[in-house]
Amino acid sequence: MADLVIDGALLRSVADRVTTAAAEIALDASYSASLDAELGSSAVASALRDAGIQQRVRADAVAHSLLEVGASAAASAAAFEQTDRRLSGGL
Amino acid sequence: MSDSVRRGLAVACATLILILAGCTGGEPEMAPEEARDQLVDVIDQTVALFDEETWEDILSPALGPCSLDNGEGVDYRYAKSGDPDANPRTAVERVAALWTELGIEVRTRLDTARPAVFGVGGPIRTIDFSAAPDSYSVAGTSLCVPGDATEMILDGE
Amino acid sequence: MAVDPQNPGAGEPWAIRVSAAAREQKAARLRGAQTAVSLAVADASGPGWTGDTQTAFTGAIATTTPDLVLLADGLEAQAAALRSYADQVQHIKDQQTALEVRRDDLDGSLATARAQWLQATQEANGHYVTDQVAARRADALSRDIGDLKDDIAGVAAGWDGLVADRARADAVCVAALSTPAVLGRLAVFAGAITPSGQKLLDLLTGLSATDLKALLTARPDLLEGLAGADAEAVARWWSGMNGTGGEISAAQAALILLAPRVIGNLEGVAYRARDQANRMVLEEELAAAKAAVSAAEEMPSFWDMLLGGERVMNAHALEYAAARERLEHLRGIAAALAVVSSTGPRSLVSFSGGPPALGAVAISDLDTASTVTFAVPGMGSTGAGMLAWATSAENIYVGQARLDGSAQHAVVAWIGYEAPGVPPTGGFGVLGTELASAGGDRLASALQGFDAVRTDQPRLNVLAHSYGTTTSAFALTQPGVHVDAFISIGSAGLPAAVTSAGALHATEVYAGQAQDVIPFLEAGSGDQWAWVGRGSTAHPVNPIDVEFGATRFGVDGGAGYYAVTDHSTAVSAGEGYGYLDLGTESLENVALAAVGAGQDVSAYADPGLTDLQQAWIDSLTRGGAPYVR
Repeated sequence: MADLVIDGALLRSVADRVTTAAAEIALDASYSASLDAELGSSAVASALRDAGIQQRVRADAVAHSLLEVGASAAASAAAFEQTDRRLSGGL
Repeated sequence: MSDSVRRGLAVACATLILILAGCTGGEPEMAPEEARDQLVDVIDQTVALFDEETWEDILSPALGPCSLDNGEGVDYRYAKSGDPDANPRTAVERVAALWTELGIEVRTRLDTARPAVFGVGGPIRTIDFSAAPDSYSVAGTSLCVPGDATEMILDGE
Repeated sequence: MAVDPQNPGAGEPWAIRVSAAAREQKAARLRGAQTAVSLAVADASGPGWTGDTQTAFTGAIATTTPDLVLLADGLEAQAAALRSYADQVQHIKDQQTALEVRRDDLDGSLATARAQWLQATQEANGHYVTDQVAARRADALSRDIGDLKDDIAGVAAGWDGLVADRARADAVCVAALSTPAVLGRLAVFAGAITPSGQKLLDLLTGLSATDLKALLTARPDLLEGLAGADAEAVARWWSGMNGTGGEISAAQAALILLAPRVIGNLEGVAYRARDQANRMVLEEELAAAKAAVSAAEEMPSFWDMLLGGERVMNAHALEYAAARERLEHLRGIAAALAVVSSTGPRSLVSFSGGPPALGAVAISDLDTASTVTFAVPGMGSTGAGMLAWATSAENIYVGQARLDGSAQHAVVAWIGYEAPGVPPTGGFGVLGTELASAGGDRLASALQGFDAVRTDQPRLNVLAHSYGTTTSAFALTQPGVHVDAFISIGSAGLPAAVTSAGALHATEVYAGQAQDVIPFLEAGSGDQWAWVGRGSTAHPVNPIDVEFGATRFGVDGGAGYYAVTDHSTAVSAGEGYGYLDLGTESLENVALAAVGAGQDVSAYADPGLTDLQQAWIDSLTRGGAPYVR
C-alpha cells in the first residue's frame, strides 16, 4: 500500500480545489492578438503578441498539469472510498 | 578488363538500346499468402529435423517487391537459426534429402568448415541451409507472385 | 516597424488602458488560483494524507509554481508598461493635435499673405510710376511671409520632435515587454535575433519543456539555426535532456513535436527521436501529396481548354504526372518503413520531403546495435525504390545475423542523396561526378553524425553499389570521416583522384565485382553496367583492380553459392541473382566483411573476357567480321 494514511474527504476537497484553480488559468486569444491599430505601433504590437503566444502556451501547460494532478487525486479518493466501503461492508 | 578493351566495347555498345533485361519465371497465378506459406512450410520442416525449441526467427516472413515478366510482384523472405547438433555434414545431407523430396533442386558443399546446401525451384525460389560450428541457419526466398508490395503494405493486408 | 511620420500619435490610448486593465485583472485571478492551490497543498501535507502518492502530488504542483508566478508577474509588468505607454501616446497625440491646428492656421495665414502680396506687388508695378504705398505694403507682407515660414518650420521641427518622442516611447515599451519579468528565461530570444550553431545550443540548454513549447510556438523557425551545428555539441545537448533510463523526456518530446523537420535530420540527436519526428513529417507530406494528386486530376476549365488548347492539356498532363510521381516516392518510403518483421520496427532516421523525397530507413536499432552498416545505392534510386533497397539492406542484416547471432547488427537503407537517373531517359548524370560529390557531402554528415551520437564506438561500415561507390568515395575522402570497413559491389567507378584503397578513410576496404558482360547480348551472365560507368573519365577507377589494393572477394558463385548474374542487387523470379540476394556468394562475403570477419571472404578470381568479348576484340584488332553467337 503506497499511502499510509488517507482521509477520502480531504483528498476529494484538495482535488476539487486544484481542478477549479486550473480553470482560472487559461489565457484566451485576445492575449496574442495583433493590436497594431490600438497600439499605433507594429513594433510594440509584435512584442506584445510574441509574449502573448508564449504566455498562452505556458498557461495551458500549467492548467494541464493541474488538471492531471487533480484528476489523479480524485481517482485516488474514489479508489480509497470504494475500498473503504468494501471493507466496512464486509464486517 | 583493360582500358582499351573497355573503350572498344563501349563504342560497340553505344548503339544498343539500353533496356533493362526482363526476368522470366515466377508464378503468375498464385496468391501471395500461398507463396509465403510454401516457403514457411519448407523452412518449418527443415527446422523440425533438429531441436526445434532452440530455433528462433532471424527474420519472420517479410514482404518485399520483386518483378515478373508482366509487372509488379511480391515475395517473402524468411530466416531462422538454432543450436547445432553433433554432425554438421550429416545435418546438411538430411536437409538436402528433405528438400529433394519437396521438389527442390539442391547442391551441397560438404568439404568445408561450414557445410551448406543450396536449393532452388519447386515450392520456393531459393533457399540455403548452413551448418556452422556454433549455429545452424536456414534462409529462403519465396516464389515471386503477382501483387503490388507497396499497396499491400500501406493499403491492406 | 518605424513610426508613421504622418501620425506620430497613432493609436488609441483608451484601448491600450483597457488592455492593461484586463491583464491586471487576469494577474489577480492567477494569484488567486495560486493561493488556492497553495492552500490545497498545505492541507494535503497535513496528517490527513501521507505516502508516495501524496509526495508525487505535492511535487507535481510545485513544478507549476514558477510558471504561475512568472505568468502573474508578467501580466502585471505588461500592464504597467502599457499604462505608461498609453500616457505617452496620449501626450504625443495631444501635442500632435495642437500642432496640426497651428499648422492649418499658419498655412491659411500664409496663403492669405501670399495672395495679398501678389496683389500688392501687381498694384505697385501696375502703372508707369511705382505706387509707393503698395510697394511698402508688399514689403511688409513679404516680411510677414518670412515670419510665417519660420513659424511653419518651427511646427515642422516640433513635429519631427514628436516623431522622435514616439520612437523612444516605442523602444521603451518594447524593452519593457521583453524583460525576464515577462518572458522568463526566454527573454534572451526577444526581438528579431536569430542565434545559430553553438550559440543557439547554449541558449537552449536548460530550458524546461514548457519553455521550449512556448518558445517554438512563438518562433517556429528558430531551430533552423541549428543546421550547421557541430554534431558532437548537438549530441551533448540532446543527451543532456534525456529522461530516466534514456527515455524521451518532455523537453525532447516538445522539440520533436514543434520542430520535426529539423530534429528529424539533426546529426547528434538520438535516432529514435529522429524517427518519431520524421514519421510526423512523412504523414504530413503524404497528405499534401495526395491532395495535390486530387487537385491535379481535375480537368482544366472548359474555357482554359478552349483558349489554351494543346498547351493547356500538356501542362495539365505534366502537372498530374509530377504529382503522381511525388506521391509514389513518398509511398515507397512509407511502405519500407511499415514492413513488420522479427527484426523489430524499422526507423526513419532521416527524411526530407524535397522534392525529390530523400530518406534513410534503418533495419534494427541504430542507437544500440554493435555493428552498423550504411548501404548506399546507385543510379536510379529514388524514394519509390526504398522498399526494394530496404529489402536488400535486410538481407545484409540476415547474412550478418547468421554469422554472428550474439551481436546486434543494424543496416541503414540510405537513399539520402539525389542519385542520377538511368540513361538515356534519366539523363547521363551517371557519367559525371557532380551528383556523387553532393551525395558524398550528405553521406559524410551522416557518418560523422553517427560517430557523434554513438560515443561507444560501434563498428561502422559503408556498403555501396554501383554509383553509390562513387558517392561513398567522395564521403570517405573528407577529413573527419572514418569507417571501419568500406565494401564496394558492382562499382561504377571511383573518382579519378582516388587511385588506391589507402586514399579512403576506411580501415578495411573490400571489393566485389561480377564478370563484366555486354548489356543485352550477354545478359544474365554477369554485371552488364558497372563497366560502362567506369568508362567515364570522371570516375574510372576500378576497385577490383589489383593495383587499387582492396581486399577482393568472389561473387561468381564458388562453393555452392549462387553467382551474381546481373548488375543489380536483387533479381527476381527466374534464373538470376543480384549482389545482395539471399544465398549468393556476394551477400555472404558482404556479411563477413560487415561483421568484422573479412579475413574469411572467399577469394576473387579475375574471370577475364567472355568468349564473345574476346572474339570481338580479335575482330576489331584484326579487321575480320565480329563473331556473333
